[in-house]
Formats: sequence, structure tokens, C-alpha cells
Amino acid sequence: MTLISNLQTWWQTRHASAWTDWPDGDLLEHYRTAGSTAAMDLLIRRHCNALYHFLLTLADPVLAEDISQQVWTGLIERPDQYQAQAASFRTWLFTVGRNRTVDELRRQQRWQWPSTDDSAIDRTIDDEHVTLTFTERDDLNEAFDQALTALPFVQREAISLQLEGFSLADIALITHDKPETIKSRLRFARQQLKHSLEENHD
Amino acid sequence: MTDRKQTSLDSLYRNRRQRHPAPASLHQTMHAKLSAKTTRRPRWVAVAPVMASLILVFLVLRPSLETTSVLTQADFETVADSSLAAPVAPAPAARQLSKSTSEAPMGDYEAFSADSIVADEIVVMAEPAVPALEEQNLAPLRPEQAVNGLNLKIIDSQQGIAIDCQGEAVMADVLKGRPDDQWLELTWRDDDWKVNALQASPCSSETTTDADR
Repeated sequence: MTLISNLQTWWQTRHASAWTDWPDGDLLEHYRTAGSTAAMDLLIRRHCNALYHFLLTLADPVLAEDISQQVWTGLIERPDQYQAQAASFRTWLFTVGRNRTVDELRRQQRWQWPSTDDSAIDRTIDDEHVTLTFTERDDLNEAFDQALTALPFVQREAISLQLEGFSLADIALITHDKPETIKSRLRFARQQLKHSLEENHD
Repeated sequence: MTDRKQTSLDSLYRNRRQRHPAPASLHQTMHAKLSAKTTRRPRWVAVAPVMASLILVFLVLRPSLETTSVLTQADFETVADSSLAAPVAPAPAARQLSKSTSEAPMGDYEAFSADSIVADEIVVMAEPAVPALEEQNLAPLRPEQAVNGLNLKIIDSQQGIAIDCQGEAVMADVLKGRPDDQWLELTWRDDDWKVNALQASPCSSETTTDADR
């Protein structure tokens, strides 16, 4: 069987380069119907780092790795759990990862629903579409890490998802919140980050 | 005032993501899961190559099996036809051949053919006995073999071949020109062959051949 498996892997890898342009849903469908492990491997390589980093931002390295493994293993075992009609594959993937993380944080009693202090949001500033820029300095990356992890959970996940490239509707879908709520959280997160990074610099 | 380079929030996030990639252990685990999934293929995937191999072997072997079958059938029919036209008389050669056929090393297919022959058909199988004898490297009959007299039955008068009561074939010039199926008593005496024609088989066991039964 080893020889057959190796030949099969070689054959699939030979075609893997042709799949780089395939959408996620098609790759998953190919894996589901034809059992192409190369298609699933490509899917993992596309999104593994992004999902892990998102979960790391929400929790910690151990939980991020654990949840990532759960999500991918579940998908490998039961690829039919993703329904293309509901959302894009990436949105679905992040939704599953986010839900599992929240469940695990609750189980570990580390979950606290943060109350957003709306009064802290300066509603006069509409910087939703303004690109935030910061003057480069040696500790900027470290300062960004600290500022991001210091954000409340809901703002952190909202800004992380936005910086991952998700639309407002997708973020609302992933977090099970209304778009308006997400918009507020994003505004808060951006102001907080701007304030933290500029304040540290000053 | 110095003009310092600006970095966007998106750029900072991308940098952070690059600095925190998924650990190698996670990738290894996923590869292991995928490999395990590959080995746990549906049964038909594993069975298909085996079935294909079996079909291939069958297709390769079938022509040779058919050829053997046809030849066997043709031989049987030819022999059966000739036996209808001229019944083969019971002969020691028949018994000898049937004995040698059953004792000779053979494959399963040959063994099946030999075992499937009933007693009456042993005579039919005696037909190829002459060519078989011709192929043997028969040693000339030595005089010392016939000092006390040797009972022989001519089976090939042209080549001077005969068989004794034990079915052993011998060859001698003195046997040439004798009628086929003739029993003789051959004796070496006074440095010469003495031939005495017999009316019947002198062999006691010869009276009950397989074909007679």
C-alpha cells in the first residue's frame, strides 16, 4: 500500500500546481469527491497560518494550536460539514475557529463578556475608511502587539478580522453580531490602536 | 524635520502574522492526518488494482487453457472415431501406457485428465503408445536376456519392436518382419536366435487386461 500511496501522492502533487488558482470551495469539493489529499493540503497551506494567527490573537499559542488542529482535523474527517451556500470557505473556517475558541475560553472560565465603554468612543471622528499610518521605529511591531492584545476581546476579533480582509458583513457573520455593532467595535479598536501607538511614541 | 517612513496598520498586522506562523508541529500533525486518510481509502480503491490484476492474469491464461482444452477434446474425438471404426484390442501396451501415465510426474490439469479416464478408455489412450515407443531410445535385445527363452509380442514389425509380459519394450533385428500382435518365444541358443511362434499369450496376467474387465 505504501507504494500505491506514494504513487498517488506523486500523481496528486503533479497536479497540485494546476490547482493554485482554484477557489477554496472547489478544492474542498475535489477533496470530498475524489479524495485528493493534495487539494486539502493546498487548502491547509492557504489558510493555516492566518487561522492560527487569528486564534492566537484571541487566546494564546497553546489554545490557538489546539483549536486549529481541531478545526482542520474535523474538516479532513468530515469535509461535508462545510456548506458552500451559507458562506465562503474562509468565512466558515474562521467562524468555526472563533466559536470553538470562545467555547474553550468559557470552559476554562477565562471568558468574560467585555462591556464596551461606548463613552470612550469619539463619534465625531469617522476614520473607518482612513488608512492609519504610523511612523516607523524600532519598537513599533512590539508596540502594535501590545496594543492589539490589550484591546477587549470583541474589538480585538473585529479589527483582526478586518485586517485579515473580511468585509463588514463577513465579520458580522463570524461573530454573530449586527453590522452596526461591528462598525462600532472597529471604530473603537482603531482609535485605541492609534492612541496607543502614538502615545507610546510620544 | 526629517522625513521618516510611515507604516500602515495593515502592514503592522501582516508583519505580526509573519512573526507568528503556525507551529511546525501543527503542519506535521495535519500531514500525518492526511497521510492516514490516504491509507484509509474506500475499499474499492484497494480492491480495484487486485481485481485488475486478476482479470489481466485470467486474460493472459485463458488462450492457453482454451488451446489445451481444444486439443484434448480433439484427441479424444479422433481416438473415439478410430475406436468406433476399428475396436482396439486389449494389449499390454495399453496397460503399460496407463501405468506410466499415472505414475509420471504431471501438473494438476494433466492429473485431472488422467484420473478422469475410466478403465475402458485406457485402451483408447493406448493409441499414442507407438509414437511414445518410437521416441524411446530402445536398446537392442541382448542374447543373455533370452538364454532361458523370452516371450515377446510384436508391436512394430517394421522396426522390430516387441514387448514382454511385463510390458517392457525391446528391439531386435530378428523381430523385424514378424506379424504385428504375434506372440513369440525367443531363445538364444547355439549363438543364434530361435524363434517359436505362439498361438496365444503366454503371460498369465495378460489374460485379464484392463480392457477385458
